Amino acid sequence: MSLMLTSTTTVLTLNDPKTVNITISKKVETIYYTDGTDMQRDKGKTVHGLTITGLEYNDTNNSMEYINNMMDNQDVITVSGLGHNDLDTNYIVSDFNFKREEGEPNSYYYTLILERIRDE
Amino acid sequence: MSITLSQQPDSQNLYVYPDSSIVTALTNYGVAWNHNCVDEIWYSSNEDTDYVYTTNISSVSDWYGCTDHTVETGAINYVRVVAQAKSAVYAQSNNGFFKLLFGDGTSEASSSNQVPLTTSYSKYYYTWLSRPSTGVLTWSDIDNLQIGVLCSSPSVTDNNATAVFYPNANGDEDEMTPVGDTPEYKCIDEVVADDDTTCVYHNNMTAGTYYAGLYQIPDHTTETGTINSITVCYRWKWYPNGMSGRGQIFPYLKLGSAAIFSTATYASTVQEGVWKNYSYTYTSVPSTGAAWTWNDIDNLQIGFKLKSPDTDVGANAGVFVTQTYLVVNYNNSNINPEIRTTQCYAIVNYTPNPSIVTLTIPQTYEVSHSRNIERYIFNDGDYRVFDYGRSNKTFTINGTEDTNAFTKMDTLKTMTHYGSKVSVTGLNDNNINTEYMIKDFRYDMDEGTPSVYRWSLTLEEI
Repeated sequence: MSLMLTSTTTVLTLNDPKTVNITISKKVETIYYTDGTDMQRDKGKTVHGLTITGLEYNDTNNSMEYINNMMDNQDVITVSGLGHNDLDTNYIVSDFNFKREEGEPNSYYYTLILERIRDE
Repeated sequence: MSITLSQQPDSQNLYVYPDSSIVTALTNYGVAWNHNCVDEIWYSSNEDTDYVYTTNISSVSDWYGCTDHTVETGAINYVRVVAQAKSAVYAQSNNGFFKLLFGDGTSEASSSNQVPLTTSYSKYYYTWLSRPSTGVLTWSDIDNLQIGVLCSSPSVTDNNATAVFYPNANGDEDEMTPVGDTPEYKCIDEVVADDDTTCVYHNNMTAGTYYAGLYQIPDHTTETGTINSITVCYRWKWYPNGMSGRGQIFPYLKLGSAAIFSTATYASTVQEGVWKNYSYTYTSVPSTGAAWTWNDIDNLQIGFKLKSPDTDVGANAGVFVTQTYLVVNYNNSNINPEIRTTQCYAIVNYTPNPSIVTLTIPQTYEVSHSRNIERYIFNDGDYRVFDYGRSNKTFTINGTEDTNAFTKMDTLKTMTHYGSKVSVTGLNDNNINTEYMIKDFRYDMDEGTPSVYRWSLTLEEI
């Protein structure tokens, strides 16, 4: 099984991620009335994000660079391979982190944070 | 295996300031020793608080010794001598000199002429790319540096100069009564009018009759040049004492033995007890039409005639005069303005030596790439997600150094100080062997292992 990131110019296949995390935050406001009562209002999502962590050891340098380039190009990325249609959709990359440790010169631990975008 | 960081710093400026006076042909003002008058830091000139100046027609120079360099190294690109200067009151003559001086202890050079200096302080500078005697500038030259200014102040002309003459003795005619002081001329000789305190007057006037007062003025002294005009000035009042009659004041001069008087030159006639100013200008000697000369001024008496044209004036009504003086307007071609220098320093521009440091391959390195993503929610529940560009692309390296660790840490510290871009090579990912700016550098050592440093370097990719 693998994770595939597809932009208009690049198709990148990564190893099956170690963790996938979905974060949904909403802006909820509390309105206070003069009679002492209050009411909460949901003003919509502020974050609908997908966080993927993994360990990459195949063609790692180029893989990390592809993601960097997708970010620099502001590409819309289609995620596939997660096994859930609700997650396999379109995102843009908001944060990408990769780390190499002594003793593992050909591997990168990476964290990719994606923000789900509106389906056009 | 190792990682190498290298940096070619951008050029830097070292400011050096006068700390001794070597040649002092200019005059100091404000503080003792000429170098103390011009040693303010480059962004904080005190202008007219202290300065050096000259009014010499021919060129004179000041030379100052300067502070030495300290830890600076690298190739010297140029030395720029800067002086903030002006010409006081009048602009400097085009025939004058204002040059910046530069010496390395063995040879000297001067800038092109910067004249004419204006009446406002400006910074003048000149840049030398090599030693005055030719050859590459060295740090030894900087330690022997002498800077200064050369200037002169040839005469300039003011076509609207004025000389003012106040009475200094009583004159040939006197029909006035003094109030407040004696002799009489002292009642009208003040520079700032004192009105009723000291003045002269004539009352009990017969209609149509003139009453004269004449006063001596001092001879001119250093003034020369063509006289354009002379103006006699008065401060006077008519005191009607409740009567309807009017009072008048007429300019009255005496050149040698010849009176200069015209019945057409009177001031507006009704003053009603209020002090007012009146003046009358003669562009030439009325009797000859010739231009006024300084000899005429020396032979001139100034004064006035008073009159009431009306019969309805009581015994106590009268004309009062509290101030009389003469203004001579002339072309003064004998002005040597002060050429003032309030600040003088040198900028040594240099390119520090490249810094290169080779470190043991790091224990970890990490790239963090973030973008500024914002989600907008519309009133109908729809939304859009926008990418506003890169927030950061940070490269963090952590390692441990145990060989020449202090020297290596010191080199990294210097790189951080200069702030120029750093090239990274030696990592096994060529995508991140590139150029960065240093955002953060820290290192520490543990008790018991004083020669081992753990370090962390945070870089931003450029």
